[in-house]
Amino acid sequence: MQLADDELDAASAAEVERALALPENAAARDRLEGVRELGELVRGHLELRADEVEDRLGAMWAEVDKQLDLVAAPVPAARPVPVRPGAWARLTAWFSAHRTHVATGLVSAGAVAALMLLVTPGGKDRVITRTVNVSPPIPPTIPVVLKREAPQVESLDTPGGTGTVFTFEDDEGGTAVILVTPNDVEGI
Amino acid sequence: MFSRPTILCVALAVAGVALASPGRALADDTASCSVIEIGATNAKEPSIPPGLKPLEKKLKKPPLSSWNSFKVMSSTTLNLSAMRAAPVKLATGQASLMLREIEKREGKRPRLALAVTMDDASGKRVVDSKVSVDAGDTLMVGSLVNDDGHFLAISCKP
Repeated sequence: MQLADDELDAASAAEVERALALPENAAARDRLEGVRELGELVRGHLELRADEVEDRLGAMWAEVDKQLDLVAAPVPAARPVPVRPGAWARLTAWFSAHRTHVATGLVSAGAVAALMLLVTPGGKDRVITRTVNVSPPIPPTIPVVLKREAPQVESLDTPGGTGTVFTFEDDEGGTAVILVTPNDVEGI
Repeated sequence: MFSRPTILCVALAVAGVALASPGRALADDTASCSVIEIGATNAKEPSIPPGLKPLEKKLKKPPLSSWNSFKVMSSTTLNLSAMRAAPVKLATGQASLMLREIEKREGKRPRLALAVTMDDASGKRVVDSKVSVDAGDTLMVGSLVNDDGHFLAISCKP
């Protein structure tokens, strides 16, 4: 067996080879051949299995390399999902799309406002009264006496007579008297 | 020439400014006016009827103090709408009264702009006048008729 497995040194192997060459050791020679043939078969089988394992390991390493390549490669950008814009976004988008129209409207409004301010000098006297809740309640106040203004005659037409205007004030307020004297009557 | 959105924006802006701007002659301005037709004469005994007692002080000041006897010839109350002339049927002749505008002023009485006309019994125009008076003040418009007086005492409040 040691000879078949090449485990003997050269001297021992030569001695065993000489012994096997003797005619009476023919059975031992056949056994040695059988052992060697069996060894070849075993080695061939092992080499085949090793080749199979190598192929499987190669496939495994290829898979590992692929995974490593995937990890190292940049992640592709996520596909944008269409989102329905909100009301404010739509409003601002509308204003952006109609910027010139809105600007025209505002300019026109400004022009009209300026024109109305020019032609209505008394507009600023408009009184807006608002009622608000105040806590703690304010004690009742003395009514403010509103200022008076004397009556004013803006125009007077007295066909066939002469008009005279009298104005006076008393504690009951102002009074204007328009007295028309016919042209054919002397003054009072 | 102009696109539809432009016209729409301009129209909305103009309407907004028109509604927001303070107007002086608003269509919803109304006033209640009392009109008393007064006959004035000189009599032996001074006379002021109870209906004219609120005006007694005014009747004793010139030029009305030229007469000492007064009487109420007619009396009416009118509800005036802005810029609508209201006819006033008098015992002698006729008149009309129109509220032109009400000016509201801070710290002051509302001021009423009125237009007054007065015709004599023959329909001849005697007075055509535009006046501004504070709310509650009195306007007296009249003429001499054979040394007697024929007046309208007008007082309006918004």
